[in-house]
Amino acid sequence: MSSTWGHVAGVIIVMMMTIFIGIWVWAWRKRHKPVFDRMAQLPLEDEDADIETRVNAKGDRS
Amino acid sequence: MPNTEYYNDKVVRQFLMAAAIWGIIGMAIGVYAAAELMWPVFNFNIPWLTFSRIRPDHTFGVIFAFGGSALMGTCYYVVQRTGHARLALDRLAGFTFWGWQLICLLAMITMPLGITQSKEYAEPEWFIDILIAVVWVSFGVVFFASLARRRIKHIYVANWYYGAFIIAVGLLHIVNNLALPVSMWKSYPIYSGVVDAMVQWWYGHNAVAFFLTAGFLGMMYYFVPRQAKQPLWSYRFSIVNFWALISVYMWAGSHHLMYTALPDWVQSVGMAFSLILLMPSWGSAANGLLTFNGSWHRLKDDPAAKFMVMSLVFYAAATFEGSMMAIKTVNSLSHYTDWTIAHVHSGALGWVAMITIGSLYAMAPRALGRPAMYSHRGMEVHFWLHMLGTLMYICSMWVAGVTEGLMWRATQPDGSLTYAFLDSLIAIKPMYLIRWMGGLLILSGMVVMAWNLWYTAADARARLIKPIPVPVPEPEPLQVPAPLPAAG
Repeated sequence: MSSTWGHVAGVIIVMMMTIFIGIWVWAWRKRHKPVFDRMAQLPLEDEDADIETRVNAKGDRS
Repeated sequence: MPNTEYYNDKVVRQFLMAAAIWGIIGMAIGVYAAAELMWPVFNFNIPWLTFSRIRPDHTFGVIFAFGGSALMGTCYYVVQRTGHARLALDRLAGFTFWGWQLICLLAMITMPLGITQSKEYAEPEWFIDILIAVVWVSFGVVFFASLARRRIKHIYVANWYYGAFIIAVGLLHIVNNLALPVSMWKSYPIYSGVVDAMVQWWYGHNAVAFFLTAGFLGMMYYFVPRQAKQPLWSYRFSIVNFWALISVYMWAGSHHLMYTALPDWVQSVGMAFSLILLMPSWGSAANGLLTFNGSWHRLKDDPAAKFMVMSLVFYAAATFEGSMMAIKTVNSLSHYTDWTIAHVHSGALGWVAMITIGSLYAMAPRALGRPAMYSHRGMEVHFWLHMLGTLMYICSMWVAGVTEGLMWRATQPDGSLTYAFLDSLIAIKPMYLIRWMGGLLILSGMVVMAWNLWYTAADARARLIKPIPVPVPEPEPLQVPAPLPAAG
């Protein structure tokens, strides 16, 4: 590898590492916590709604 | 409430049923192919029934027809539920269903007839490839248009995976299938020699990465917390894993071409990236498994949760195995042996099929307007059939693979080979029998699932079920960020 390519590779590695660490920092920022906590509840809400429609469905059919 | 919006579960139900049927077809072909390896007489000297012709039918059937239908169905389900909005473009969504079924049917008919590009996992000829591109772009349009009309500002992580799956698979498919048609039934790729091989395995490995991993991780990130009845162990960790996985996976393809004409440094790059890949893979597996912390008791009587937990265990095991097999020295033993088959099926039957089955069992009652699946015992039986079958399959192929690897490399003091190729075939014959029996168990499990789904769908078939309204406005008034106003 020529020295030019070595520098290019080095810069890219440093950039990639910075981006990677940056994603960690972004994800761990305090101000995102309420949003992420809210997001994490989303899959559980389908189940809650489930009970509601089940009662409705039963009522309609009888 | 005036202007009530309902979820579009019709297309979800269609994909659900298609997945159940394709699962049986794809796996039945697999069992037949396994029987041919054990008893070659089963090809009856009919060209289209030979192993070489039906093997692509098996792989296409299980990956694209079964897996693809399950992915598209769950994707449509998840994007609606996590965005609190109805699927966009109803008719285009319907087109993606019928288009995809037509593609699968055409591919499954043409390939045994010898109409094939002979590219692994990309066998269908050019006219089917064009159809795939059209349907896939439509799928992407429906998905991203649905995201655009969501009422929840942040996009739930499962959708990130589904989005990456759609974009990457579209890109891979188009680049790998660039070809010059010379007639209706024949085309030649624009690449040749080792470039063709590299493009093919860039595609082939990323089909594993973005179809069989990213897509199914989308399923995992939605249905695992839902079934564990607990939020994801760490939402922010899932974000880091997402970016790590999608940026690393693209560069690992060359590990399929170790010790070939491919430049040595490209092989080494593939090996290095494959080793790094272990981290995001185990990150997702750990996140899924830890989500069950505090609700492990659910495994006792919830077969869907059992499927999901085992799928994550197999995901962790198969990705570890994959990283190890990408090491050149290990690869020199494992390459071209049945170890590869063991690894693929530990991923496909263990991870992919189990997370799919678990998610289908979780989603089906809701999509079919029932409180639960028709038969709880049916799900239980399916779990044990699938589990036992998978273990029989992969253990027998591990033994066969290592046996082959060791016999092929054994040399006498004078440098000549200790064994003829035929010796290794005779040595692994009992393993082929066990593999076939394992496959039979797995196939029986799929039949049980289809039976169970058919009866769970009784109300849906009789058109007794009501569409499910979208929760508008948000059930939580203090939600952060504030929900967007309902669109008319």
